[in-house]
Amino acid sequence: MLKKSNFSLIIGLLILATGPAYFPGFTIYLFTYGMIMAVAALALNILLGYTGLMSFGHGMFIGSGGYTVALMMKYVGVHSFEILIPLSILISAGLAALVGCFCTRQIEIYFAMLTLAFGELLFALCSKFYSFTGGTDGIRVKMPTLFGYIFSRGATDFYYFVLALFLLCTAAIWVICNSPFGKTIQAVRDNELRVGYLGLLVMKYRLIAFTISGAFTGLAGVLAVSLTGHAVSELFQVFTSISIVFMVILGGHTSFLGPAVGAIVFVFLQSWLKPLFFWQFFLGVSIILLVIFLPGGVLGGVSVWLRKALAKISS
Amino acid sequence: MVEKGPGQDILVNISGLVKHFGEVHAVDGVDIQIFQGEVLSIVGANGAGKTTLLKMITGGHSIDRGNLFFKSSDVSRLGLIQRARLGIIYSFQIPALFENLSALDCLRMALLTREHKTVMFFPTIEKFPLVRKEAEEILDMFKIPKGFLACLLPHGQRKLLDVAMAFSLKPHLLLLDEPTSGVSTKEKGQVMDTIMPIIRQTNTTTVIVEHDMEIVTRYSDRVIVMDQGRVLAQGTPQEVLSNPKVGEVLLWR
Repeated sequence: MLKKSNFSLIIGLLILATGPAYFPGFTIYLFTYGMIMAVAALALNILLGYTGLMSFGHGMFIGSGGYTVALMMKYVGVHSFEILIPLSILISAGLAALVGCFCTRQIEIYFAMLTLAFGELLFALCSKFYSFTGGTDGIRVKMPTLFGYIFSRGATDFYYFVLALFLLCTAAIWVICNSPFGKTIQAVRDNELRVGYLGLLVMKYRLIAFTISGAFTGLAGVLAVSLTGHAVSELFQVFTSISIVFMVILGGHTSFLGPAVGAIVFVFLQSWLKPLFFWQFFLGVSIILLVIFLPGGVLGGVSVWLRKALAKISS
Repeated sequence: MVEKGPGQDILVNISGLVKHFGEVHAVDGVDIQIFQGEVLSIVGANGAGKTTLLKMITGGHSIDRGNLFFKSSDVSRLGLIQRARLGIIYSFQIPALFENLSALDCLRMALLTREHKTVMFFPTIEKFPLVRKEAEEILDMFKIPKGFLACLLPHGQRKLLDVAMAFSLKPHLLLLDEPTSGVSTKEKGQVMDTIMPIIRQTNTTTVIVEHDMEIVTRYSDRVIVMDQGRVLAQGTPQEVLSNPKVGEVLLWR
């Protein structure tokens, strides 16, 4: 018999796969952006949910991925995803490894504050080197090509490209989280002292987790600027980082797919609330209410609701 | 049966070990030899320096002065991780488990560490059937249900799981810090009756810190009594029990 969780997964995949057939263009745009941010949220959850580290600086990897694309286009003339994606992943992973060398020596609030500080540092650098990075005005980014194929921004073909990458990243992150390495970082999260007494260097595992997380977030950065057509220094800033944290908490960091659901919900919520005056206030209130009434996140809440509904039907 | 203790190969040779915490002389010039395959118990009143000594052997506490030889090599300056890799494994007084992992996964984690597979990103842990099989066998040996999350196990089984994780690393020297602490009087025997046959069967050199003299006399080959950071007496359980100084310190008479 099909498990309930598998059933929900199939329904979700069907909606994503057939969405362009019945959703209007702007909804498709939001779904595309939601899936991109879902990659970043799943990547952050490698740290938050699986390693027990809260990063307030993941915007820096969205920025590093995004700016790799923008700068490569502007100064080198590279316009193809097949070069930009691996390069951005490599640069983001390198940045994460470098920043991680400093941050992963610390835990809890000290780790969080260091990641925040590095994010702000990169934001300041990016803003100040105006002539090179475009500062807060940013750099316009053309839609890259894929083996010569030209995507239309916000159109169905790019949606399916993002969907394919989202599924690929989700599968890769799932395998990593359930691999021996994945179990080790969960052990680090639960009891780092014991991990040390087993003979493992805790910092090494934190650093690897941070690097992997940064690499996937970098990929999200590439796709984000390709979709929006703009790389700005705010990508590095704390609001981007906090948004990704919100997405993870909103969806539920204790379930694997929770952060992905949280990202899509967050993007839609943000879009609906933006026309309102002082929209951040309403966004904050919505998130507070969701966290209070759905402490397990949207996915946790929905699964509890589904379970109750099914129990009522069967009785 | 071969007599364990002096006469066997020396596994650990400790000389003049000192550890001070400010004014407190936790370990104050300890000389001990631990022999291959023996079960050695360290007893003493609270604050006698037993756990500090154990943690100095593991590398959890640094050594202020003195030497620690393991298999004839000086390991005094090695850290916790290097010593664990040499096979000096510690089991905690308060169980140190991976609370949100199942008992099976806690064991698999320890086995993957032993097999040097913790930096593998692919495939998933389920694709290691031999690791699973061995983990299940060890859980059966220690009578621990495999499906429960570690945080949901009763205290006695948490203690057993802690020891099982240490044991699964195939230690050359297993250090058990009060394996029956917090366990009911009735359960103490059950816990020790589960652990000790496995240790005897595998001939694992074991040091036990314990307060319960009944357990010490029943399961140890040799006993060391500590008082105020020093070794007060050592010998077979019978020799130690008949020592009047030991009686005064441990107040069992």
